[in-house]
Amino acid sequence: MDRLVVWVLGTWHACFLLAVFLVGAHASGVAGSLTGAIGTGVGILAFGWLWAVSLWAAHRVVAGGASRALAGLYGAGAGVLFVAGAGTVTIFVAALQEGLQPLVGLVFVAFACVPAAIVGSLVGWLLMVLDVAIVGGKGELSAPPGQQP
Amino acid sequence: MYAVHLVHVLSMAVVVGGGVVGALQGGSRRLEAVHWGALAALVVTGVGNVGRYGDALPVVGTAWGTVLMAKLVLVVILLGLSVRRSHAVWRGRPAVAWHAATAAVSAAIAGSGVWLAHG
Repeated sequence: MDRLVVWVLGTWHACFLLAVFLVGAHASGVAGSLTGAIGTGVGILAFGWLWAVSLWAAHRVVAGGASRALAGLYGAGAGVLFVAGAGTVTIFVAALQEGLQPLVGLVFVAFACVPAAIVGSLVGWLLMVLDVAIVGGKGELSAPPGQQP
Repeated sequence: MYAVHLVHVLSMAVVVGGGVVGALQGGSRRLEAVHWGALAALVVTGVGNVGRYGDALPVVGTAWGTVLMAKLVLVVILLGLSVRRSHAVWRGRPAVAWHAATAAVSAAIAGSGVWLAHG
């Protein structure tokens, strides 16, 4: 498996999702208020987590042969990981700062993982379709045998 | 915010410069790896730059807001071109034209950024 392919696809997915989100938010007139509500450190950590789960999903999909089914499966996994990770950290930070009980928040995060899996699966499938369209075929999502490091 | 601006500008220099180098000398796997790291830094700091304006961010109906939208769309195009460029590199195919294309689009993005900052 080519590590460059995984690096490119995982990074492209994370960047594309964030860029498209910003385009949509700006078109709706809410980009400033939405992004301004997030602190710099929080934003960097959130993107870093998104990037990490995107790389993980890309690695699993490429290693498994880059099928749409795998893209949907690991897209769901990425959605769950992102929401669970970001949600858990948010709950515990709020618990420390506000003195709230984290258990209720964690239950909410657990329930939120269900739509996260559904949305993640759809996004993963769509990104695979886009990837294949850009590079011109599923077989292009790997380096030729002589090129692989 | 200074650090966010600095990383954003330095990342754009890497993206533009890398595209020019690739167009002149041909690309490499290492250049692609660095290019994507710079793109990620560019995108996340771009969000930070937008967030600085908060509710005062001009909307699309204004000249400034329209140029920002054009810049964001160019960023999405650059991302897609970069995938195509990296694909050529990992398949061992000529990628000079793709490097030139990414250099041109990233230069246009930089130009729109300068207008947004000083225009």
